[in-house]
Amino acid sequence: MNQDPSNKGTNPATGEENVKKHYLYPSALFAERTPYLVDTVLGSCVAVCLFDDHKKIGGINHFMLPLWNGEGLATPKYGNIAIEKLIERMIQLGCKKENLKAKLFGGASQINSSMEIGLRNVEVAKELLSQHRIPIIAENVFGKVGRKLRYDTGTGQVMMKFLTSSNQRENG
Amino acid sequence: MKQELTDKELLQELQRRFDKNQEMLQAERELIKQLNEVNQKLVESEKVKSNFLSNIRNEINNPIASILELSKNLSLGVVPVDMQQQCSEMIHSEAFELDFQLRNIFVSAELEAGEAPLSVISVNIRSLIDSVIESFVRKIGKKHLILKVEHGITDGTIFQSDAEKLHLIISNLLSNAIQFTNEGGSILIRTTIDDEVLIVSVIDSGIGIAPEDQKEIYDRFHQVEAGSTKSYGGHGLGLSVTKALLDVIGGTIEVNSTLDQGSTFTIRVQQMEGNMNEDVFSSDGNDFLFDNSEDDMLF
Repeated sequence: MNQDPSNKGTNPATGEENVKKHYLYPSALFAERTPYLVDTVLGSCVAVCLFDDHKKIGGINHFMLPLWNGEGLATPKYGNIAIEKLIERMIQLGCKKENLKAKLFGGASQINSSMEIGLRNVEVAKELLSQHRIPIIAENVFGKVGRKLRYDTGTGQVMMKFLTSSNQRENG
Repeated sequence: MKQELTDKELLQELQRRFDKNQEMLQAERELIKQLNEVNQKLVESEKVKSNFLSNIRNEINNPIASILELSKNLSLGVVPVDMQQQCSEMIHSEAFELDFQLRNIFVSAELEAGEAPLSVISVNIRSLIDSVIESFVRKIGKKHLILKVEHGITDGTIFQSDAEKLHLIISNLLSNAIQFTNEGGSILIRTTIDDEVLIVSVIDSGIGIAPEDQKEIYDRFHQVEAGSTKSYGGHGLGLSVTKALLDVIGGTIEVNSTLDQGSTFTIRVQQMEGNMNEDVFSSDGNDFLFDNSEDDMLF
């Protein structure tokens, strides 16, 4: 029901009705030719939003840990897999790598976490994006509080909101 | 104002910097070692993956060959009437096996692509577990295994989660228990819900897993006993798919096992919220907009 493509919403930027909505869960990624409003909630997880300004196509991932080390399945739960797969998917949709621009969010440090996962998630994202020569044109990372994102994949715009204790519903 | 250092202070400072450099060098060595290990694992994993199709060829070919042969005989009418039911049961069992293996393969491909969408609904846990058992009941009977279910939850208990994923997770655990338990052994399924966490244990009296093998059982395509002479079927995807599915629905898995005595696999799944799609962007003035003009960056 959450992935129902007919789920319609209002575009916050344009006020337009009938934009399709998608809720992005941790370990998943999303990229479509048609515009969507993609919502996601980030704690120490990181989301990379890619946008091709020529094709007006956007894609987003949401990874939980920095590196896949060969254990278990190679899913986009891991930054190195999630970023490579998102770029691949964008290229499959007809985007050119040199036209891609990135926005980076998340990586908050969570209480009781000595591993600094948020920090390492952001580092991996920056390192891989720079290897692919994809510029990061906006970022809001680190800190102590989680974030909610709404990414408009048709315009590349991201609405971000810090989680407050009243609306805290962090799942990554 | 310039401050003079005494020779002693200078030496101390140099020593401090030298120690710090040593420390950093040590950390770097450590990191390189870790990276080498990761690299080694990746190389191995890729190798196994490229052999995947040839590895699972038998898993797919054998059931198909049986189904083709048995159904041909049935349609030709060469199967005596009293054997027909048995024959169709065999066709069903081979097709079931094939369907189950293929489902794991397709789900693992979806998971690796990040395309395993969640669909959270109200799940009746007892009927879900009953339907898993129902699908394996012939296999259990064929091996003369004793299956017991101890429900710590009342009939009709509803739990918010992804029913299809839970079904495949529990199917994989039960399928493994059946596969790795010798004829006449026993399997126990135990369920309970504790503070919004669903706990399901599948306990078998099977061959067990040695401690040194336990950390590798979740690796894809990994089976403890590999090669063409292995005594147990399967493609070694079941537990890696199970673990990745649990990641997606917010769960964990743990194993307790003693060689030759049996294994207990326990999953813990957090209840999910029914509708994550509600409007998270109420306008209360705490919004930040990141548009595309580079000189208009807010952060």
